Amino acid sequence: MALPEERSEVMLRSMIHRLFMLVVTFVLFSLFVFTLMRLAPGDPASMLLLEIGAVPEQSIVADLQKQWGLDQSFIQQYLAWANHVFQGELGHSFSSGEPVLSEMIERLGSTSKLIASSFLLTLFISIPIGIWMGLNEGTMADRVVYSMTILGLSIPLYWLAILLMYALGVIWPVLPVVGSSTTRHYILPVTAMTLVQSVYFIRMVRSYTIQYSKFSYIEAAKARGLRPSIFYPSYLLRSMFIPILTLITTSLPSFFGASIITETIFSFPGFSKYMLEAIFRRDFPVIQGSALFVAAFIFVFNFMTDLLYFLADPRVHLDKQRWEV
Amino acid sequence: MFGRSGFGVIAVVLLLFIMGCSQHVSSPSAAEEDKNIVVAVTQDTEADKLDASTYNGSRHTHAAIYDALVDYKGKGEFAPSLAESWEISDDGRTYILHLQNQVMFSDGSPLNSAAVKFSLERAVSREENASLEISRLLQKVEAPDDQTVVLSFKDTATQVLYELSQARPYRIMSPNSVTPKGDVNGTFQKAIGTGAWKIAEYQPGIQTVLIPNDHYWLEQPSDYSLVFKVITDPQARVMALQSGEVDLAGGELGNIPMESLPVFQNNDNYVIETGSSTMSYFMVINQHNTSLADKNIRQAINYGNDTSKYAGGSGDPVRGLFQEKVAFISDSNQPSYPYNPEKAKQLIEASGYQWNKNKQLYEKDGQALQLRLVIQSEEYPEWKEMAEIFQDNMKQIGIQIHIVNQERAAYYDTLWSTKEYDLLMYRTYTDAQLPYRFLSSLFYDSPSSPGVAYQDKPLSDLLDQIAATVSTQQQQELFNQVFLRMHEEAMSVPIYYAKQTFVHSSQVVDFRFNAIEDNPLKWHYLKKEAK
Amino acid sequence: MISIIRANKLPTAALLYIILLIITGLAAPWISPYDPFHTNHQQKLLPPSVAHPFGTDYLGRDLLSRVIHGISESVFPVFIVLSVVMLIGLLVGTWSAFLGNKLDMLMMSLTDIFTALPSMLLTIVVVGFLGFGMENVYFAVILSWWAKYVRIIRGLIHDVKKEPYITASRVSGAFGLRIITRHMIPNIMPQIGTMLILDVSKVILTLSGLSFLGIGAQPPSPEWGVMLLDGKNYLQVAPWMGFFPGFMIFLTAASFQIIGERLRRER
Repeated sequence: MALPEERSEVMLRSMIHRLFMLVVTFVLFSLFVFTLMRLAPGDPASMLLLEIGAVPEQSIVADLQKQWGLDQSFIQQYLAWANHVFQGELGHSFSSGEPVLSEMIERLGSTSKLIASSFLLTLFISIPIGIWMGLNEGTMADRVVYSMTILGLSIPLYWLAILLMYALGVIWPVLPVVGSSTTRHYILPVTAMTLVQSVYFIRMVRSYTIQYSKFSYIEAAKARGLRPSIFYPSYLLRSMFIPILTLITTSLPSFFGASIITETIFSFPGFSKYMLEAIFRRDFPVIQGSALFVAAFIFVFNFMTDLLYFLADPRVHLDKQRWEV
Repeated sequence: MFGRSGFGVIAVVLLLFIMGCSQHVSSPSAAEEDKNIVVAVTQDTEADKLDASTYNGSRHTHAAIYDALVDYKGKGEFAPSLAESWEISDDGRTYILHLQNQVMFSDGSPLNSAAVKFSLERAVSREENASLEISRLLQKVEAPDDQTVVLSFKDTATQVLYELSQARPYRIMSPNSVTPKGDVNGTFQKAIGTGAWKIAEYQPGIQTVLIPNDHYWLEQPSDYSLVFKVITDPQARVMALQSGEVDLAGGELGNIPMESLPVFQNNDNYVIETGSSTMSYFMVINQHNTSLADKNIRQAINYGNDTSKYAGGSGDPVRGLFQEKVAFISDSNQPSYPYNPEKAKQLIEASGYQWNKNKQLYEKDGQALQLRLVIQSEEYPEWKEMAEIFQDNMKQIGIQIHIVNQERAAYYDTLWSTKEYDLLMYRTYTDAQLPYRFLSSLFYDSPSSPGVAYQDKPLSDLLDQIAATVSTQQQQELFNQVFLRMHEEAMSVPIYYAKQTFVHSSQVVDFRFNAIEDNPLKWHYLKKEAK
Repeated sequence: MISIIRANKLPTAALLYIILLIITGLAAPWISPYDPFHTNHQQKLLPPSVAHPFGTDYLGRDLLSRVIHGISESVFPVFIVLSVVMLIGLLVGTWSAFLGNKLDMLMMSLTDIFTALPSMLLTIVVVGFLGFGMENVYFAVILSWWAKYVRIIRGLIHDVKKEPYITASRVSGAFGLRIITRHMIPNIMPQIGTMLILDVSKVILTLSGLSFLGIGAQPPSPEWGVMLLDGKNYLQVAPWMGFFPGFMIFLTAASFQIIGERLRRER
């Protein structure tokens, strides 16, 4: 076991290393998105003209492209954009002309509320239920909830959203169907997203519980007389901490994906819908800016969970010798 | 660690909190709601950028706030609007417009020739308007006195009145809308027009509230506020109507899908209003495909196309490319191909194709007669169904159709640049009241810009002549020849004549259609009566 | 034999359903009552009846026939897609976990990139670039999903590495490949199996979601996901259009999960 001073030195070194990797990943990611967009069929200038009802005549298209710097080489464009980003500027949307950064921030409010609430609700609901089911595997209650999760997994989000809308907005009109102005407006969208995501989580947590409860040290603890009902779950939770954390981090992007559909159906003026529409319009600055933002969020989130890994299991070093016990 | 019970407690508390929040939010009181007419729209209005000389924002909002110099009345005729009368020189190069007296903008400033000069010059200065005739040909705008405007063009200008009547970009905006005031290149501040409405409140992506313009010159302004609420999903619009969150929806600005109409039919709480439209759906033919280069095949496709099947037979009988409401169209000048599958098959066989009994297809030299049809369903979801019906129609006459449903940008890319299609589903524009503009965008062929939809020299020559003809009567004769030529050469496959369909709650009364689709209703007539 | 069946009624039923499904899918041209592409405008949007047990759709096509023909397009490809994803996940995840350090970090960055990429953008580009055809769509789906499996498998290997029997086998002289194949992978299979089984319905639904964009199965293909999407527009007018494909997806997903659960308990 390393001495305390050595250990913190190691920790610092690995954190720097990790941060460096983060930056590299970030740059690679932006390059990826940049390339993808220019490979996609369809050209932003024509799309803009078509959208406003004008004919995409060659001369106007060429002018627009020049205005947006699209006639330059790939490298030039990328460097120009990267340069702007370093200065904290994300460029201007092709279609609205407004700065991307301010447009994004305007819309972040409702999206983050949507994702945060469904994310937290999912965790709060799924983890306890999943563990409980895993511990009580095979009982009637477990079977009932299990079948409900199968149902939940077979319904696409857009269907569930519309069904909920129909049931609670039209047949029995208790909740508003569109918009995001009041908290009540959030109930249907958050419910739809949570339901769809939590069935997945519940099943995975249940599976982990069943598997991990068979691990040697659990058995050993039981043999030592550990009482199942009280300490068992939390003891178990500690050892499942890492896989559950992995599950959470790999599921975060799916929350973004779900929010795109949810925002479209419920007419939320949100960030995800904004990004989706930009993709359709080939609004490059907006796509790059928002993809960068989402990536940043996810990467930082991953980084923090890696930190948590480290704290949870002292044997894990942040970068080096991860697999040596 | 908390243990499971801890989580459970937190979950319950969270839920209670959320429910508790909802109790505190007050919904608008009944009295407030009565004075709002809520309309569902597909797109945000962009009301903070609604500069009359640009294409920013939704055109319906442009039309509600800004008036045009002349109004399109239908069938190629124009009615006075802000211009109460006008004269056109014989050579079509000079237009003199006489403005109405004592018209005020919503901020109280007067409508005069300076304001008109400002608006037109500003619109002409913008690059995206460059392809319009006024922008191309306008030489100068003069304002000899407050009520007179003289437009001088470099060459014969025949589309001027038409372009002036459109929702944008040549509607009239007050010079106070920009800073510095009256500067043609000034920065846009606020939408100030002479129309029946002005902007009260704008929440991006959520809704726009319009209130009546007290200075409205034409008629009594409304008593109500008009709320354009953004609802992007079609099903959500239907449900919003059902739940009462929205009073009215439909048309191009907030379309109600055709398959959902049964929900509102035979229902006393709702009224369905149907109006005519100028938009039609048709197939673009790629004449570079070897089969389609053969006129027999093009005609066969037309003969084999049973148009009564589209949209459950709800459309009007289809003739040529354009609907009857489009100018220069009469009952008789748009010849078309009646549904006659036998004739279709004869034509195919006349071109040397043989019937293959096993495959139930026509073949030539071992190659089956197959065509690739490209569509998109993002902007026009009904196209998917129509394409399938077309596919079925063609199957009956032995032509195999492969449908490729592309994502919107890829679809436009296919049409305008890659040309990887044999047939492509498209539409005439809603602003195709005068067909010249649409025809010249798609069917005009020249060495520098090959015709997108079809390339035919005689047709392009006719279009050139129309551009140089001022007399409506002569234009009519030329158009007759145009439609005849398009029919003889079977340059396209007309599919469906769209309609404008609106649904509103029965509490909303005095619904009246307007003449152009970009300004679909006379909004200021709408009232609400409690039942 | 009979006692096994009796003890596992539900899984046996599920297995029978899957077998029946596969056979029906393969025998579709002979079994289905109508031609799934035959349109009949007089008979559109009919509710379920004796003549049309699942009703008809907006073109008058018999839904039962379309569902039957849809099996080969909706279910079979899912197997392939998931197998590929799992293989990639196992290979790359284990390799990354073992060869450690720099390569592992690179792989983690790569997976980070792929998970953060909006899958919609990726799919549009792949399909736009490679053109149409379902193979390209499957390729796009695989591209969007592999990263998740790699990450999770690597995490699971990490845990399993610490188990005493692993150390024990190392002590007894076994190394490398033997440990991996004999001990580690079989131990993480239950979790991966669960994930795969859960993802069966997810993949079907993803393909349906792609139809949202116009990418995916082209008309008149009777793919279940597309039928589900079409049905959404007719929810209030002809609910059976969406109900039956949805129900089939549910039954299929459920059967897989029941079988999977049973197999897992076996170990």
